[in-house]
Amino acid sequence: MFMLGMEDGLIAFVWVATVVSALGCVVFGGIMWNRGGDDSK
Amino acid sequence: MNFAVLIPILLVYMSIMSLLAYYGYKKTVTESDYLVGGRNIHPAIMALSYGATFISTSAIVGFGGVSAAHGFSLLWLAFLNIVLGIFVAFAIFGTKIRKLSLDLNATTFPTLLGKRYDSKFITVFSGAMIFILMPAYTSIVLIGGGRFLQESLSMNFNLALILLAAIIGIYVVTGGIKAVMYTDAFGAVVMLIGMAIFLFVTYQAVGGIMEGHDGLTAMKNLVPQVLVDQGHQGWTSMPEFGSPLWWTIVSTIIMGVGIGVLAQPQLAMRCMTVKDDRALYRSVLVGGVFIFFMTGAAFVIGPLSNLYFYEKTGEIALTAAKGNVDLIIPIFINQIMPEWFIYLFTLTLLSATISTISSLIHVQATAFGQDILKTLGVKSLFGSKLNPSRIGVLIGVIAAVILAYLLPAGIIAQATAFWFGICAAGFMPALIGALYWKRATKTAATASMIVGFSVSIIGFLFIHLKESAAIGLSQAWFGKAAIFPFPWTHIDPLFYALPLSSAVFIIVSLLDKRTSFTQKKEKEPIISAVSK
Repeated sequence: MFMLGMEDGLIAFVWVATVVSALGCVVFGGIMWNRGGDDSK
Repeated sequence: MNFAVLIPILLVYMSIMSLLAYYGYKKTVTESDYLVGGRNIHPAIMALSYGATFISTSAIVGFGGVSAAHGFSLLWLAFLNIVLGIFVAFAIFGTKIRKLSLDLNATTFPTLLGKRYDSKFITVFSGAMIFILMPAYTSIVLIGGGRFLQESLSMNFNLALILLAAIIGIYVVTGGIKAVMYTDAFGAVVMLIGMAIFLFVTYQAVGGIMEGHDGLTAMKNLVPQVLVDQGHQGWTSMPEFGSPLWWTIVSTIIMGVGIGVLAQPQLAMRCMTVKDDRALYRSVLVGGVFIFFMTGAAFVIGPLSNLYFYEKTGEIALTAAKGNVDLIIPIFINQIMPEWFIYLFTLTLLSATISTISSLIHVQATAFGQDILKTLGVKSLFGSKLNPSRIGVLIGVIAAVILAYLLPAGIIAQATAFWFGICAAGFMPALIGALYWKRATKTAATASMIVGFSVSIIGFLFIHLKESAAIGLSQAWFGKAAIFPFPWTHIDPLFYALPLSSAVFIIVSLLDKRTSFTQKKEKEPIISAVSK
Protein backbone atom coordinates (compact mmCIF):
# COMPACT_ATOMS: atom_id res chain seq x y z
CA MET A 1 0.00 0.00 0.00
CA PHE A 2 2.81 2.40 0.73
CA MET A 3 4.08 4.16 -2.34
CA LEU A 4 7.82 4.68 -2.50
CA GLY A 5 7.84 3.81 1.15
CA MET A 6 5.68 6.85 2.00
CA GLU A 7 2.59 6.47 4.15
CA ASP A 8 0.69 9.28 2.42
CA GLY A 9 -0.01 9.19 -1.33
CA LEU A 10 0.26 13.00 -1.50
CA ILE A 11 3.82 12.82 -0.19
CA ALA A 12 4.74 10.06 -2.66
CA PHE A 13 3.21 12.19 -5.42
CA VAL A 14 5.14 15.32 -4.49
CA TRP A 15 8.42 13.39 -4.15
CA VAL A 16 7.96 12.13 -7.73
CA ALA A 17 6.66 15.52 -8.91
CA THR A 18 9.73 17.31 -7.55
CA VAL A 19 12.06 14.96 -9.44
CA VAL A 20 9.94 15.07 -12.60
CA SER A 21 9.65 18.88 -12.53
CA ALA A 22 13.44 19.21 -12.34
CA LEU A 23 13.81 16.75 -15.23
CA GLY A 24 11.07 18.67 -17.06
CA CYS A 25 13.15 21.85 -16.76
CA VAL A 26 16.12 20.00 -18.29
CA VAL A 27 13.98 18.68 -21.16
CA PHE A 28 12.34 22.08 -21.75
CA GLY A 29 15.68 23.86 -21.72
CA GLY A 30 17.07 21.29 -24.16
CA ILE A 31 14.13 21.52 -26.56
CA MET A 32 14.10 25.34 -26.48
CA TRP A 33 17.92 25.62 -26.58
CA ASN A 34 18.02 27.44 -29.91
CA ARG A 35 14.61 29.09 -29.90
CA GLY A 36 13.80 32.69 -29.01
CA GLY A 37 17.07 34.13 -30.27
CA ASP A 38 17.73 37.81 -30.88
CA ASP A 39 16.01 37.92 -34.27
CA SER A 40 12.75 36.45 -32.95
CA LYS A 41 12.41 39.14 -30.29
CA MET B 1 37.42 21.71 12.49
CA ASN B 2 41.09 22.20 11.62
CA PHE B 3 41.73 25.94 11.21
CA ALA B 4 45.09 25.31 9.56
CA VAL B 5 43.11 23.76 6.70
CA LEU B 6 40.00 25.91 6.79
CA ILE B 7 41.64 29.33 6.76
CA PRO B 8 43.72 28.75 3.58
CA ILE B 9 40.60 27.35 1.88
CA LEU B 10 38.65 30.44 2.90
CA LEU B 11 41.45 32.70 1.64
CA VAL B 12 41.44 30.97 -1.75
CA TYR B 13 37.64 31.19 -1.87
CA MET B 14 37.62 34.89 -1.02
CA SER B 15 40.41 35.54 -3.55
CA ILE B 16 38.31 33.98 -6.31
CA MET B 17 35.27 35.99 -5.21
CA SER B 18 37.35 39.18 -5.15
CA LEU B 19 38.72 38.49 -8.63
CA LEU B 20 35.21 37.94 -9.97
CA ALA B 21 34.00 41.12 -8.28
CA TYR B 22 36.95 43.00 -9.80
CA TYR B 23 36.10 41.52 -13.22
CA GLY B 24 32.53 42.77 -12.73
CA TYR B 25 33.89 46.19 -11.80
CA LYS B 26 36.06 46.35 -14.94
CA LYS B 27 33.10 45.34 -17.10
CA THR B 28 30.84 47.97 -15.55
CA VAL B 29 31.03 51.12 -17.64
CA THR B 30 27.51 52.38 -18.25
CA GLU B 31 24.53 52.84 -15.94
CA SER B 32 22.87 49.93 -17.76
CA ASP B 33 25.89 47.76 -16.88
CA TYR B 34 25.52 48.69 -13.21
CA LEU B 35 21.75 48.12 -13.10
CA VAL B 36 20.97 45.28 -15.54
CA GLY B 37 24.38 43.95 -16.57
CA GLY B 38 24.15 45.62 -19.97
CA ARG B 39 21.26 43.19 -20.72
CA ASN B 40 23.80 40.68 -21.96
CA ILE B 41 24.48 38.29 -19.06
CA HIS B 42 25.14 34.62 -19.95
CA PRO B 43 22.05 32.44 -19.27
CA ALA B 44 23.94 30.03 -16.99
CA ILE B 45 25.26 32.93 -14.92
CA MET B 46 21.79 34.45 -14.73
CA ALA B 47 20.19 31.16 -13.65
CA LEU B 48 22.87 30.40 -11.07
CA SER B 49 22.76 33.96 -9.74
CA TYR B 50 18.96 33.81 -9.51
CA GLY B 51 19.17 30.49 -7.67
CA ALA B 52 21.91 31.63 -5.32
CA THR B 53 19.95 34.81 -4.53
CA PHE B 54 16.80 32.78 -3.91
CA ILE B 55 18.53 30.25 -1.63
CA SER B 56 20.03 31.72 1.51
CA THR B 57 21.65 29.93 4.44
CA SER B 58 18.26 29.90 6.16
CA ALA B 59 16.72 27.99 3.23
CA ILE B 60 19.28 25.21 3.62
CA VAL B 61 19.91 25.10 7.36
CA GLY B 62 16.72 26.73 8.70
CA PHE B 63 14.11 25.20 6.40
CA GLY B 64 16.10 21.93 6.25
CA GLY B 65 15.81 21.77 10.04
CA VAL B 66 12.09 22.56 9.86
CA SER B 67 11.63 19.67 7.41
CA ALA B 68 13.46 17.39 9.87
CA ALA B 69 10.80 18.26 12.43
CA HIS B 70 7.75 18.29 10.14
CA GLY B 71 8.64 15.74 7.47
CA PHE B 72 8.42 15.39 3.71
CA SER B 73 5.39 17.73 3.42
CA LEU B 74 7.84 20.57 2.80
CA LEU B 75 8.65 18.96 -0.55
CA TRP B 76 5.57 20.80 -1.85
CA LEU B 77 7.61 23.97 -1.43
CA ALA B 78 10.51 22.48 -3.42
CA PHE B 79 8.04 21.45 -6.14
CA LEU B 80 6.58 25.00 -6.29
CA ASN B 81 10.09 26.46 -6.24
CA ILE B 82 10.93 24.53 -9.41
CA VAL B 83 7.60 24.94 -11.23
CA LEU B 84 6.76 28.54 -10.26
CA GLY B 85 10.14 29.83 -9.13
CA ILE B 86 12.00 28.59 -12.19
CA PHE B 87 9.76 27.50 -15.07
CA VAL B 88 6.99 30.11 -14.73
CA ALA B 89 9.40 32.82 -13.53
CA PHE B 90 11.73 32.40 -16.54
CA ALA B 91 9.77 30.91 -19.44
CA ILE B 92 6.40 32.59 -18.85
CA PHE B 93 6.79 35.74 -16.73
CA GLY B 94 10.48 36.24 -17.50
CA THR B 95 10.10 36.56 -21.26
CA LYS B 96 7.37 39.19 -20.79
CA ILE B 97 9.34 41.07 -18.13
CA ARG B 98 12.43 41.13 -20.36
CA LYS B 99 10.52 42.44 -23.39
CA LEU B 100 8.57 45.06 -21.44
CA SER B 101 11.67 46.31 -19.60
CA LEU B 102 13.54 46.61 -22.90
CA ASP B 103 10.71 48.39 -24.69
CA LEU B 104 10.08 50.80 -21.80
CA ASN B 105 13.80 51.16 -21.03
CA ALA B 106 13.16 50.11 -17.44
CA THR B 107 16.16 48.96 -15.43
CA THR B 108 14.54 48.14 -12.09
CA PHE B 109 11.40 46.34 -10.94
CA PRO B 110 9.66 49.50 -9.60
CA THR B 111 10.58 51.47 -12.74
CA LEU B 112 9.08 48.69 -14.87
CA LEU B 113 5.76 48.94 -13.01
CA GLY B 114 5.89 52.75 -12.95
CA LYS B 115 6.60 53.10 -16.66
CA ARG B 116 4.02 50.47 -17.62
CA TYR B 117 1.31 52.28 -15.67
CA ASP B 118 2.71 55.70 -16.49
CA SER B 119 2.88 56.55 -12.80
CA LYS B 120 5.72 58.13 -10.86
CA PHE B 121 3.81 57.35 -7.68
CA ILE B 122 3.93 53.61 -8.42
CA THR B 123 7.70 53.78 -9.02
CA VAL B 124 8.37 55.77 -5.85
CA PHE B 125 5.91 53.77 -3.72
CA SER B 126 7.33 50.44 -4.91
CA GLY B 127 10.87 51.70 -4.36
CA ALA B 128 9.95 52.94 -0.88
CA MET B 129 8.35 49.60 0.08
CA ILE B 130 11.52 47.81 -1.03
CA PHE B 131 13.84 50.29 0.65
CA ILE B 132 11.90 50.39 3.93
CA LEU B 133 10.77 46.76 4.29
CA MET B 134 13.52 44.75 2.58
CA PRO B 135 16.23 45.58 5.19
CA ALA B 136 14.41 43.33 7.69
CA TYR B 137 14.89 40.39 5.31
CA THR B 138 18.45 41.44 4.44
CA SER B 139 19.24 41.73 8.10
CA ILE B 140 18.06 38.25 9.05
CA VAL B 141 20.13 36.75 6.24
CA LEU B 142 23.07 38.77 7.57
CA ILE B 143 22.39 37.55 11.10
CA GLY B 144 22.33 33.97 9.77
CA GLY B 145 25.69 34.52 8.08
CA GLY B 146 27.17 36.14 11.17
CA ARG B 147 25.99 33.31 13.43
CA PHE B 148 27.35 30.78 10.97
CA LEU B 149 30.82 32.40 10.96
CA GLN B 150 30.65 32.67 14.73
CA GLU B 151 30.01 28.94 15.08
CA SER B 152 32.23 27.61 12.30
CA LEU B 153 35.23 29.93 12.77
CA SER B 154 34.73 30.80 16.44
CA MET B 155 34.71 34.40 15.22
CA ASN B 156 33.28 37.22 17.33
CA PHE B 157 29.68 37.78 16.13
CA ASN B 158 30.06 41.57 15.88
CA LEU B 159 33.24 41.22 13.85
CA ALA B 160 31.62 38.58 11.58
CA LEU B 161 28.63 40.83 10.95
CA ILE B 162 30.72 43.88 10.09
CA LEU B 163 33.20 41.88 8.00
CA LEU B 164 30.44 40.31 5.90
CA ALA B 165 28.66 43.66 5.45
CA ALA B 166 31.89 45.44 4.50
CA ILE B 167 32.98 42.83 1.93
CA ILE B 168 29.56 42.77 0.29
CA GLY B 169 29.22 46.56 0.41
CA ILE B 170 32.56 47.11 -1.33
CA TYR B 171 31.90 44.86 -4.27
CA VAL B 172 28.29 45.96 -4.77
CA VAL B 173 29.34 49.64 -4.72
CA THR B 174 32.12 49.12 -7.24
CA GLY B 175 30.92 46.33 -9.50
CA GLY B 176 27.11 46.69 -9.45
CA ILE B 177 24.95 43.84 -10.70
CA LYS B 178 27.77 42.30 -12.76
CA ALA B 179 29.97 41.82 -9.69
CA VAL B 180 26.94 40.50 -7.82
CA MET B 181 26.00 38.00 -10.54
CA TYR B 182 29.53 36.73 -11.26
CA THR B 183 30.21 36.08 -7.58
CA ASP B 184 26.70 34.62 -7.17
CA ALA B 185 27.36 32.15 -10.00
CA PHE B 186 30.63 30.97 -8.49
CA GLY B 187 28.96 30.60 -5.10
CA ALA B 188 26.10 28.70 -6.74
CA VAL B 189 28.50 26.14 -8.24
CA VAL B 190 30.00 25.55 -4.78
CA MET B 191 26.47 25.21 -3.34
CA LEU B 192 25.42 22.79 -6.09
CA ILE B 193 28.40 20.48 -5.57
CA GLY B 194 27.98 20.56 -1.78
CA MET B 195 24.26 19.80 -1.72
CA ALA B 196 24.39 17.14 -4.46
CA ILE B 197 27.03 15.18 -2.52
CA PHE B 198 25.08 15.67 0.71
CA LEU B 199 21.88 14.24 -0.85
CA PHE B 200 23.55 11.15 -2.29
CA VAL B 201 25.48 10.40 0.91
CA THR B 202 22.31 10.76 3.00
CA TYR B 203 20.32 8.28 0.92
CA GLN B 204 23.31 5.93 0.99
CA ALA B 205 23.56 6.23 4.78
CA VAL B 206 19.91 5.22 5.31
CA GLY B 207 20.16 2.24 2.94
CA GLY B 208 18.73 3.74 -0.25
CA ILE B 209 15.55 5.49 -1.37
CA MET B 210 12.92 2.81 -0.57
CA GLU B 211 14.68 1.60 2.57
CA GLY B 212 15.06 5.16 3.85
CA HIS B 213 11.40 6.04 3.26
CA ASP B 214 10.20 2.72 4.72
CA GLY B 215 12.36 3.20 7.80
CA LEU B 216 11.07 6.72 8.33
CA THR B 217 7.44 5.62 7.91
CA ALA B 218 7.97 2.98 10.57
CA MET B 219 9.11 5.68 13.04
CA LYS B 220 5.69 7.35 13.07
CA ASN B 221 5.12 6.50 16.75
CA LEU B 222 8.27 8.44 17.69
CA VAL B 223 6.83 11.85 16.73
CA PRO B 224 6.85 13.99 19.91
CA GLN B 225 3.40 14.38 21.49
CA VAL B 226 3.58 18.16 21.27
CA LEU B 227 3.82 17.87 17.47
CA VAL B 228 1.12 15.18 17.32
CA ASP B 229 -1.18 17.59 19.17
CA GLN B 230 -0.46 20.20 16.51
CA GLY B 231 -1.47 17.79 13.71
CA HIS B 232 1.77 15.89 12.93
CA GLN B 233 0.95 12.43 11.49
CA GLY B 234 4.44 11.11 10.77
CA TRP B 235 7.36 12.23 8.61
CA THR B 236 6.00 10.62 5.43
CA SER B 237 2.46 12.02 5.79
CA MET B 238 0.87 15.43 5.39
CA PRO B 239 -0.23 17.05 8.69
CA GLU B 240 -3.87 16.56 9.66
CA PHE B 241 -6.06 18.75 7.43
CA GLY B 242 -7.04 22.04 9.10
CA SER B 243 -4.75 21.53 12.11
CA PRO B 244 -2.43 24.36 13.30
CA LEU B 245 0.54 22.56 11.74
CA TRP B 246 -1.31 22.12 8.43
CA TRP B 247 -2.10 25.84 8.27
CA THR B 248 1.47 26.81 9.11
CA ILE B 249 3.03 24.47 6.56
CA VAL B 250 0.50 25.02 3.79
CA SER B 251 -0.30 28.73 4.13
CA THR B 252 3.03 30.14 5.31
CA ILE B 253 5.81 27.82 4.21
CA ILE B 254 4.42 26.24 1.04
CA MET B 255 2.10 28.89 -0.39
CA GLY B 256 3.65 32.00 1.14
CA VAL B 257 7.19 31.33 0.01
CA GLY B 258 6.19 29.20 -3.00
CA ILE B 259 3.94 31.82 -4.61
CA GLY B 260 5.75 34.84 -3.20
CA VAL B 261 8.82 34.05 -5.29
CA LEU B 262 7.09 35.28 -8.46
CA ALA B 263 6.88 38.86 -7.24
CA GLN B 264 10.31 39.18 -5.62
CA PRO B 265 11.96 42.32 -7.05
CA GLN B 266 15.50 40.95 -6.58
CA LEU B 267 14.55 37.81 -8.54
CA ALA B 268 12.24 39.27 -11.21
CA MET B 269 14.85 41.87 -12.21
CA ARG B 270 17.28 39.05 -13.14
CA CYS B 271 15.15 38.44 -16.27
CA MET B 272 16.03 41.96 -17.45
CA THR B 273 19.72 41.09 -17.55
CA VAL B 274 19.70 38.66 -20.48
CA LYS B 275 19.79 39.37 -24.19
CA ASP B 276 16.85 37.36 -25.51
CA ASP B 277 14.19 34.76 -24.76
CA ARG B 278 16.61 32.02 -25.75
CA ALA B 279 18.78 32.89 -22.75
CA LEU B 280 15.73 32.58 -20.48
CA TYR B 281 14.78 29.20 -21.94
CA ARG B 282 18.34 27.98 -21.40
CA SER B 283 18.22 29.34 -17.85
CA VAL B 284 15.27 27.04 -17.12
CA LEU B 285 17.57 24.04 -17.59
CA VAL B 286 20.26 25.29 -15.21
CA GLY B 287 17.81 26.78 -12.70
CA GLY B 288 15.64 23.66 -12.44
CA VAL B 289 18.60 21.45 -11.63
CA PHE B 290 20.02 23.99 -9.18
CA ILE B 291 16.81 24.43 -7.17
CA PHE B 292 16.23 20.66 -7.11
CA PHE B 293 19.60 20.19 -5.41
CA MET B 294 18.93 23.09 -3.02
CA THR B 295 15.41 22.96 -1.59
CA GLY B 296 14.62 19.51 -2.99
CA ALA B 297 17.73 18.03 -1.38
CA ALA B 298 17.35 19.97 1.89
CA PHE B 299 13.72 18.85 2.34
CA VAL B 300 14.67 15.20 1.73
CA ILE B 301 17.81 15.24 3.87
CA GLY B 302 16.01 16.87 6.83
CA PRO B 303 13.36 14.17 7.39
CA LEU B 304 15.82 11.33 6.66
CA SER B 305 18.18 12.64 9.34
CA ASN B 306 15.62 11.31 11.87
CA LEU B 307 16.20 7.76 10.67
CA TYR B 308 19.98 8.17 10.76
CA PHE B 309 19.98 9.66 14.28
CA TYR B 310 17.56 6.99 15.51
CA GLU B 311 19.66 4.13 14.15
CA LYS B 312 22.87 5.58 15.62
CA THR B 313 21.72 7.09 18.91
CA GLY B 314 18.12 6.01 19.49
CA GLU B 315 16.97 9.64 19.29
CA ILE B 316 15.06 11.58 16.62
CA ALA B 317 16.73 14.61 15.04
CA LEU B 318 14.88 17.17 17.14
CA THR B 319 15.99 15.48 20.35
CA ALA B 320 19.58 15.11 19.10
CA ALA B 321 19.61 18.88 18.45
CA LYS B 322 18.13 19.56 21.90
CA GLY B 323 14.99 21.08 20.38
CA ASN B 324 16.76 23.65 18.19
CA VAL B 325 15.77 22.97 14.55
CA ASP B 326 18.54 25.28 13.27
CA LEU B 327 21.16 22.90 14.67
CA ILE B 328 19.82 19.70 13.09
CA ILE B 329 21.55 20.04 9.69
CA PRO B 330 24.95 21.15 11.13
CA ILE B 331 24.92 18.28 13.68
CA PHE B 332 23.84 15.81 10.99
CA ILE B 333 26.69 16.90 8.71
CA ASN B 334 29.21 16.56 11.51
CA GLN B 335 28.05 12.98 12.14
CA ILE B 336 27.52 11.68 8.63
CA MET B 337 30.06 13.43 6.40
CA PRO B 338 33.86 13.18 6.19
CA GLU B 339 35.90 16.15 7.41
CA TRP B 340 36.70 17.44 3.93
CA PHE B 341 32.95 17.83 3.28
CA ILE B 342 32.56 20.04 6.33
CA TYR B 343 34.98 22.51 4.72
CA LEU B 344 33.03 22.34 1.46
CA PHE B 345 29.76 22.85 3.32
CA THR B 346 31.27 25.84 5.12
CA LEU B 347 31.90 27.39 1.70
CA THR B 348 28.41 26.35 0.58
CA LEU B 349 26.76 28.24 3.41
CA LEU B 350 29.08 31.21 3.07
CA SER B 351 28.19 31.38 -0.64
CA ALA B 352 24.48 31.17 0.15
CA THR B 353 24.80 34.06 2.60
CA ILE B 354 26.95 36.35 0.46
CA SER B 355 24.96 35.80 -2.74
CA THR B 356 21.60 36.53 -1.15
CA ILE B 357 22.74 39.59 0.79
CA SER B 358 24.61 41.14 -2.14
CA SER B 359 21.54 40.86 -4.38
CA LEU B 360 19.24 42.29 -1.74
CA ILE B 361 21.60 45.19 -1.09
CA HIS B 362 21.82 45.90 -4.83
CA VAL B 363 18.02 46.01 -5.17
CA GLN B 364 17.68 48.21 -2.07
CA ALA B 365 20.32 50.54 -3.46
CA THR B 366 18.66 50.87 -6.85
CA ALA B 367 15.30 51.38 -5.14
CA PHE B 368 16.88 54.31 -3.29
CA GLY B 369 18.94 55.82 -6.10
CA GLN B 370 16.90 55.06 -9.20
CA ASP B 371 13.32 54.50 -8.13
CA ILE B 372 12.98 57.10 -5.39
CA LEU B 373 15.59 59.82 -5.89
CA LYS B 374 15.93 59.80 -9.68
CA THR B 375 12.15 59.66 -10.17
CA LEU B 376 11.80 62.63 -7.82
CA GLY B 377 14.45 64.52 -9.79
CA VAL B 378 17.31 64.21 -7.26
CA LYS B 379 20.49 63.47 -9.19
CA SER B 380 23.11 63.78 -6.47
CA LEU B 381 23.23 63.66 -2.69
CA PHE B 382 25.18 66.02 -0.44
CA GLY B 383 26.90 67.43 -3.53
CA SER B 384 28.63 64.09 -4.00
CA LYS B 385 29.65 62.90 -7.45
CA LEU B 386 28.88 59.37 -6.34
CA ASN B 387 25.81 57.89 -8.00
CA PRO B 388 22.86 57.89 -5.54
CA SER B 389 22.49 54.12 -6.13
CA ARG B 390 25.99 53.62 -4.77
CA ILE B 391 25.13 55.78 -1.75
CA GLY B 392 22.05 53.56 -1.43
CA VAL B 393 24.37 50.55 -1.08
CA LEU B 394 26.05 52.18 1.90
CA ILE B 395 22.71 53.08 3.49
CA GLY B 396 21.40 49.55 2.86
CA VAL B 397 24.45 47.93 4.42
CA ILE B 398 24.35 50.20 7.48
CA ALA B 399 20.58 49.65 7.92
CA ALA B 400 21.05 45.86 7.72
CA VAL B 401 23.80 45.93 10.37
CA ILE B 402 21.79 48.18 12.71
CA LEU B 403 18.67 46.03 12.32
CA ALA B 404 20.73 42.93 13.08
CA TYR B 405 21.08 44.29 16.62
CA LEU B 406 17.45 45.45 16.94
CA LEU B 407 15.51 42.46 15.58
CA PRO B 408 14.49 39.84 18.14
CA ALA B 409 16.21 36.44 18.06
CA GLY B 410 14.71 33.42 16.31
CA ILE B 411 12.73 35.20 13.61
CA ILE B 412 14.55 33.97 10.49
CA ALA B 413 11.61 31.99 9.11
CA GLN B 414 9.08 34.68 10.03
CA ALA B 415 11.09 37.47 8.42
CA THR B 416 11.50 35.41 5.24
CA ALA B 417 7.79 34.61 5.07
CA PHE B 418 6.99 38.28 5.87
CA TRP B 419 9.01 39.59 2.94
CA PHE B 420 7.82 36.96 0.45
CA GLY B 421 4.20 37.42 1.57
CA ILE B 422 4.05 41.20 1.36
CA CYS B 423 5.74 41.16 -2.06
CA ALA B 424 3.17 38.70 -3.38
CA ALA B 425 0.18 40.64 -2.05
CA GLY B 426 1.59 44.06 -2.92
CA PHE B 427 3.20 43.49 -6.31
CA MET B 428 1.75 40.39 -7.94
CA PRO B 429 -1.63 41.66 -9.27
CA ALA B 430 0.00 44.81 -10.67
CA LEU B 431 2.85 42.77 -12.18
CA ILE B 432 0.58 40.19 -13.83
CA GLY B 433 -1.71 42.97 -15.06
CA ALA B 434 1.28 44.82 -16.48
CA LEU B 435 2.36 41.75 -18.42
CA TYR B 436 -0.93 40.23 -19.53
CA TRP B 437 -3.85 42.69 -19.32
CA LYS B 438 -4.05 45.66 -21.65
CA ARG B 439 -7.00 47.04 -19.72
CA ALA B 440 -5.10 47.22 -16.41
CA THR B 441 -5.00 50.83 -15.26
CA LYS B 442 -2.81 53.09 -13.19
CA THR B 443 -5.51 53.68 -10.56
CA ALA B 444 -6.13 49.95 -10.23
CA ALA B 445 -2.44 49.16 -9.85
CA THR B 446 -2.02 51.92 -7.25
CA ALA B 447 -5.06 50.82 -5.25
CA SER B 448 -4.07 47.15 -5.43
CA MET B 449 -0.55 47.82 -4.19
CA ILE B 450 -1.73 49.99 -1.31
CA VAL B 451 -4.35 47.39 -0.28
CA GLY B 452 -1.89 44.49 -0.66
CA PHE B 453 0.84 46.04 1.44
CA SER B 454 -1.56 47.50 4.06
CA VAL B 455 -3.55 44.29 4.60
CA SER B 456 -0.36 42.22 4.76
CA ILE B 457 1.23 44.49 7.32
CA ILE B 458 -1.97 44.59 9.41
CA GLY B 459 -2.11 40.80 9.20
CA PHE B 460 1.43 40.41 10.46
CA LEU B 461 1.01 43.04 13.20
CA PHE B 462 -2.33 41.91 14.63
CA ILE B 463 -3.58 38.59 13.23
CA HIS B 464 -0.83 36.06 12.43
CA LEU B 465 0.25 34.87 15.86
CA LYS B 466 3.96 34.21 15.30
CA GLU B 467 4.70 37.74 14.10
CA SER B 468 2.08 39.60 16.16
CA ALA B 469 3.31 37.93 19.36
CA ALA B 470 6.95 38.71 18.51
CA ILE B 471 6.21 42.36 17.61
CA GLY B 472 3.90 42.91 20.59
CA LEU B 473 1.81 45.75 19.16
CA SER B 474 -1.41 43.72 19.35
CA GLN B 475 -0.70 42.91 23.00
CA ALA B 476 -0.04 46.57 23.77
CA TRP B 477 -3.14 47.90 22.00
CA PHE B 478 -5.71 45.12 22.41
CA GLY B 479 -4.40 43.15 25.40
CA LYS B 480 -3.93 39.91 23.43
CA ALA B 481 -1.21 38.51 21.20
CA ALA B 482 -3.56 38.25 18.18
CA ILE B 483 -6.97 39.84 17.72
CA PHE B 484 -8.80 36.89 16.08
CA PRO B 485 -9.02 33.24 17.27
CA PHE B 486 -7.68 30.10 15.54
CA PRO B 487 -7.48 29.38 12.58
CA TRP B 488 -6.78 33.09 11.77
CA THR B 489 -3.79 32.96 14.10
CA HIS B 490 -2.13 30.38 11.81
CA ILE B 491 -3.30 31.55 8.36
CA ASP B 492 -0.60 33.49 6.55
CA PRO B 493 -1.74 37.05 5.65
CA LEU B 494 -0.94 36.23 2.02
CA PHE B 495 -4.07 34.05 2.02
CA TYR B 496 -6.38 37.03 2.40
CA ALA B 497 -4.16 39.95 1.32
CA LEU B 498 -3.48 38.55 -2.17
CA PRO B 499 -7.14 37.78 -3.03
CA LEU B 500 -8.10 41.24 -1.72
CA SER B 501 -5.42 43.09 -3.70
CA SER B 502 -6.29 41.02 -6.80
CA ALA B 503 -10.01 41.79 -6.42
CA VAL B 504 -9.30 45.50 -6.00
CA PHE B 505 -7.05 45.44 -9.07
CA ILE B 506 -9.65 43.75 -11.29
CA ILE B 507 -12.67 45.72 -10.07
CA VAL B 508 -10.97 49.14 -10.29
CA SER B 509 -9.56 48.33 -13.74
CA LEU B 510 -13.01 47.39 -14.99
CA LEU B 511 -14.65 50.47 -13.47
CA ASP B 512 -11.91 52.93 -14.33
CA LYS B 513 -12.00 54.15 -17.91
CA ARG B 514 -10.40 57.53 -17.29
CA THR B 515 -6.83 56.44 -16.75
CA SER B 516 -6.89 53.32 -18.89
CA PHE B 517 -3.50 52.61 -20.35
CA THR B 518 -5.06 52.14 -23.76
CA GLN B 519 -5.58 55.92 -23.84
CA LYS B 520 -1.81 56.39 -23.89
CA LYS B 521 -1.45 56.03 -27.61
CA GLU B 522 2.32 56.22 -27.71
CA LYS B 523 2.72 53.16 -25.45
CA GLU B 524 -0.16 51.12 -26.80
CA PRO B 525 1.93 49.20 -29.35
CA ILE B 526 4.41 48.19 -26.64
CA ILE B 527 1.73 46.85 -24.32
CA SER B 528 -0.11 45.12 -27.15
CA ALA B 529 3.08 43.39 -28.23
CA VAL B 530 4.02 42.28 -24.72
CA SER B 531 0.48 41.19 -23.75
CA LYS B 532 0.09 38.85 -26.75
